[in-house]
Amino acid sequence: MIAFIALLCWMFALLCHGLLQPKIQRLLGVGCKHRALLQGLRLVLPLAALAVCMRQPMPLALLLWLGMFSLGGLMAGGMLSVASVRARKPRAEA
Amino acid sequence: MRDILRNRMGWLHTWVGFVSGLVLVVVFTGGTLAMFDTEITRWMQPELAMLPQAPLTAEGLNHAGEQVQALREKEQTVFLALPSVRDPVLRILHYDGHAFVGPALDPRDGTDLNVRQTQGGQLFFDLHQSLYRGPVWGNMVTEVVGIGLLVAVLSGLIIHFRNLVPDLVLFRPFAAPGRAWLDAHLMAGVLMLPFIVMITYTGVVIHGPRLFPMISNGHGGKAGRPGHDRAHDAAPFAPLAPMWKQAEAVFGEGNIGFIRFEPRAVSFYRSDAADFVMTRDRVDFSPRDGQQIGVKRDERGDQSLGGIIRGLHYVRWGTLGLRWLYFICGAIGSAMMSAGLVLFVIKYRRTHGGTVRLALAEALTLAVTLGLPLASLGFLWSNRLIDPSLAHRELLEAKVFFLLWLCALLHGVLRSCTGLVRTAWREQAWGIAALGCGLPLLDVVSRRATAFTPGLDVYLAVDACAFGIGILALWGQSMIVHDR
Repeated sequence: MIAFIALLCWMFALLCHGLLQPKIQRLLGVGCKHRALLQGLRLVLPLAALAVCMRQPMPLALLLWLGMFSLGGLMAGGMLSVASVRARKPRAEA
Repeated sequence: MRDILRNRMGWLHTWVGFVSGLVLVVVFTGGTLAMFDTEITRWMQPELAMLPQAPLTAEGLNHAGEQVQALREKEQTVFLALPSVRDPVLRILHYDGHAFVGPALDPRDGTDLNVRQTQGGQLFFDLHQSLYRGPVWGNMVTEVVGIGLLVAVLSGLIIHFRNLVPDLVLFRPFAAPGRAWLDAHLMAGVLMLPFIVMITYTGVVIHGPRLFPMISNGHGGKAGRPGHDRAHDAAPFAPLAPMWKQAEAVFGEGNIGFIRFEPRAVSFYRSDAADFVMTRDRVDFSPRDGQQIGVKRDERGDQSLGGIIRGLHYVRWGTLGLRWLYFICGAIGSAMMSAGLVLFVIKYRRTHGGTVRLALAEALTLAVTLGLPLASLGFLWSNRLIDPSLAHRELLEAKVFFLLWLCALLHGVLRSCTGLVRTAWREQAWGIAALGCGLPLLDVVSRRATAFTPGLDVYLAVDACAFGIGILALWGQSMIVHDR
């Protein structure tokens, strides 16, 4: 459960990070309406993941936190890729 | 100035990355599979599926001790591995040059379970550690390519320094093939950076003393490996059960990993799973009367640091979830390196297309990227198809593995030289799909006569992984067709 929560925290944090990048915004065809909110989440969620992981003994907590960063990042990257492919289709058809 | 540095680092990353990468994909894939070496060995000994989970008894241990004694009288050097959560049987093991092999015994009464002999998951461990080439040359090569990986990581960081953070989760599958592969390589590389740096650094440090014997602290050589001591004195020793109880009183219940028999002592070693710091702490007993001689603990300081590094790398103390995390990170690391190899051949295809050198590079890339999983699945198939009672069958299984891998390389060379490298990728992907998707069926059929009982166990896990790899290969080959 701890790993799952940490994974979700990292995934949403990196999703926010992705949405803040101009390249990804262009790929998705979106602007950045909630910049401050995304920046806040990007900062807070990894710390929340760390706080959750710290319920495990060291060094398991640290390994879990770093491992979930990797997996969460891949999941966020995968979701943004799927979204960018979908956003690309209507533009290509038009 | 900055561009000159980036160009130099680009050259370094390309060539060190490619040459080391060919070996590193093998090392990483082997290490990834070795994370579950014990479980793979259990899958490859289906006779164990019938055995109920039972604790070790004094009778079982004493009976096992008698069998060890009989082997020592024949001047065989063996040690006794005690049951654990991961491997619930007693094993009398000896080192055959590549793996620890030997009979498995029932923990309840010490009777031989007559399991088929196999190197099992330890083949992957040996492949990871020394490329199956022994502790001198094999270790040296893995050590050198490990350092090569650290160089490649550092140069890669310098090249992409400006875009590392902004492009952290950027992947454009619809971009040109080179760009898409680069995105995949970068994204996986940067996200896996903590794991890759940690696992490579600890791996290099663990085997550093082999490359630099002048800094050896006694952990790098073979001297500490159980099973290597000669059985000089085969005088009978006292029953093991009372010693075991005393050893458990020192290290805690269930924390004894293995028992080593030496002329002047019977040593009970603490299990690697007992603590994060991996040590060779032991309790010694007199073999004649079973009296405790003493408790030897690794000293603090550099040995403790070595124990931390080994604990981080081998993660034998870890929970099942943590081992899965290492497994997934290792698999993604292998894929990232394979993507780097593919990028290399794509880059040089433009300028060196049609040359023998490029064909060889393409064939080698194919052999480590798809040939290795193909051979690994073939190894699992051979385990169920070779007669369980055949003498030295474990060596035959290993031969099947290397023969299949060689065939994959030759297939790649032939196809690359005739300009059909994409066909070669598709054909090998089809091979993986057939072997992977067929493995669960083979498992069910080959275990039907003995002990097929569906459940959440190592058999289901191995079958599911093989099936998943098969499906992934099917998808991959369809992507190659689509990309055409």
